[in-house]
Amino acid sequence: MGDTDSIQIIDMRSIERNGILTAQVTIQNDSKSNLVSYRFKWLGKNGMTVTDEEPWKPVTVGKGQSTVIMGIAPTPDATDFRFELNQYK
Amino acid sequence: MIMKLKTIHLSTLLLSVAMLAACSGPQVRYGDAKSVETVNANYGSTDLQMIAEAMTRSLLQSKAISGSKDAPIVTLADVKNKTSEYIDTRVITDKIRTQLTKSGQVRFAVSITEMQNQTDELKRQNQSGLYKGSTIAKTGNMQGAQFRIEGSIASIVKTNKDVKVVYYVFN
Repeated sequence: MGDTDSIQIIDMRSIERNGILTAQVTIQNDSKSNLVSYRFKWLGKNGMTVTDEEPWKPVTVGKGQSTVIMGIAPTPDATDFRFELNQYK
Repeated sequence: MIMKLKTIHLSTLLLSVAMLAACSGPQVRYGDAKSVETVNANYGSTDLQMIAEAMTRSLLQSKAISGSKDAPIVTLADVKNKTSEYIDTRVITDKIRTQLTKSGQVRFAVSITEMQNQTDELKRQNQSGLYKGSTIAKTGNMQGAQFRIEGSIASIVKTNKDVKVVYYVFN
């Protein structure tokens, strides 16, 4: 169904908007149309996660297409983030 | 001697049957509750989690909430179901409420559905005479909400003989 090897992260940036960390990740799919899922992990100053794990969110990326994914932190305590990609069936 | 051999064969056969019976039952195991669930096109766990998360994060970023000096007091009305399928919208409301509470960015006033339980509790504390005076939550001190949050979920369903497309709109 999906293969994350053909997905490339081509840009990743973040900004604090109204006191809440906002992340933007751009992914590009070089292979055939792909069904992948993603989620953010939000980390506090000590490197620990600030909330429970997020659900995996599905996204369809067409062949040669790039997609911008936005993430908003769940609390103002989040100072850093990790981005995870997965395939789903 | 022959009799003994037969007995052994019979017991082996019984054991084999017992083992087959044990293997033929349905296999039950826990799955990942956060994974993408696509069993059918109906509203499911992924929709619930994605809706609650998207709405909470969007609310947290709004100027009305993030721009306040103190966490504003809000009240959350039950989400209305405008779709053609049965959806327990109370679960969506509760999930949004939990996530907003955990964020520490808002405080909740008593909602309409909780009011009866709240007044019962206050009556119990103030009128039963069972509680120590200094620990009683006094009546007449409830705080009103500065913001009221409402929401609804609607869907657009299209089908042909091969494909069913369900588009959910949450406002």
